[in-house]
Amino acid sequence: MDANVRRRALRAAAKVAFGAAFLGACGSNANDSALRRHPVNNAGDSGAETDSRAETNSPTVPNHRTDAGLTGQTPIITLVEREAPAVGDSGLRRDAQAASGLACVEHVELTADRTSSVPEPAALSCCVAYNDQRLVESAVDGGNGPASYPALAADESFVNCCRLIINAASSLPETWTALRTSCCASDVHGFDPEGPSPQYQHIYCTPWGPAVPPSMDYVAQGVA
Amino acid sequence: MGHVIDLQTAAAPVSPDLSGYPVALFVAAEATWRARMINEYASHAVFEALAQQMTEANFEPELVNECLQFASEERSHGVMCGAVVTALGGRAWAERPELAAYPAHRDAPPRAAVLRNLIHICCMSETVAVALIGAERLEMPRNNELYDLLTRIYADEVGHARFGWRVLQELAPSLTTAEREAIERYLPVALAHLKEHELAHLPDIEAPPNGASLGLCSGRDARVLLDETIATVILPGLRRWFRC
Repeated sequence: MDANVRRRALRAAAKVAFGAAFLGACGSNANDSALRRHPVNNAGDSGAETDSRAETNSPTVPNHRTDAGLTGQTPIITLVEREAPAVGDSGLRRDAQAASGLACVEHVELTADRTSSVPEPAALSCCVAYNDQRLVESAVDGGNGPASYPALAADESFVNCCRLIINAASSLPETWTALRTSCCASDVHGFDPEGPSPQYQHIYCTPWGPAVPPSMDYVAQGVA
Repeated sequence: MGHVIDLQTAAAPVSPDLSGYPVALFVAAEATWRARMINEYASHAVFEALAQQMTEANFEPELVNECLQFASEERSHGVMCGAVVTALGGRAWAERPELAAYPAHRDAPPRAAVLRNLIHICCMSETVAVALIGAERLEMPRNNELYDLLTRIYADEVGHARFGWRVLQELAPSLTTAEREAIERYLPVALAHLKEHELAHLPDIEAPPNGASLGLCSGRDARVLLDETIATVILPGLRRWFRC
């Protein structure tokens, strides 16, 4: 956010706060209903804030989208039913292994159309179990410490399963826990082509919707 | 609707076209817009409570109706945010958050009790929203459905904030000493709560590359803007009528 953006955003907020006083001083409150229809015009400066309230009154948004593919429930990955050997020295045995050598499933791509990305249940449960076990195995300090995230990030199967879980999380809310514990919380981002980075999993700014105001007791609770 | 917010049916037909957006950001964007969906939808109860309190304090019915309209707008904002969640491949569904009890402020005269809440909701929270969402909108590429959606939300937030300042402008000159003092006692509490609430929703992290296209803003910059909004807009605005 450059200084110009901040300045313009502040100016819009100031016009909202001080515009009321100005109008009141001019005796124009009777026109507030008209003002309400065009608050953006009145809030902003020229340029960015020139939208009219008239076009924002509708709670609906025009949908120009073609929804092809959104409602489909076609699995995008396939489970390879083949017994796999033990994984290195981890002691973990894979229930299934893909031809590529990845655990549980062939290579999974993160897809934008994740509503249609319902994985095969066996693949999903295999991945959840695989990642859970790898989290435990990679834990430092004899298993009592936190997981070794660099080790997990280097595990292509773990990362691949993260992609599958991420895809599934949209259509199967119950997999959110698995996503958060095995992929998000571990700082492992199989879907990040640039490499592991927390910026691809954060929740960003969400100060939307006013909170319930505090009671006077809020001060007594020691928050100031 | 019980303990969940299920906006899937309402959101699906209005989901914006996000083809061509950076897929690598979709998980973060979905989580962010889901949180916005929850915050926006749940906040309709705040305006409904304010409308009820205004009714009980004999405010003009037109003002009460405006407040109820704001509640309706917050619901539709929830749907719009849910539409973005849907477009990102998610489901517009979440657990309904537990809201704190709406304060009646029995220690204050009825009109001052209403103004306490009105100041916190409209003159503080929604004014901050105008600044933050406005900045996000300025950074977002234009001429696309997501920009249009954000503009609709922004326009309503402007209306909500303006309502608070307008009502304050109308009533402040006629406040009794007892009413004015009751409000002034509350302002430090409201400001402290505002700051804490906003910071909790503005993570101290930078935006990802191209994040602005999907509404993923820099929490660090937003924190600066929050402080500036409080210092240069909210406090000077309130000081026209109150000591704070």
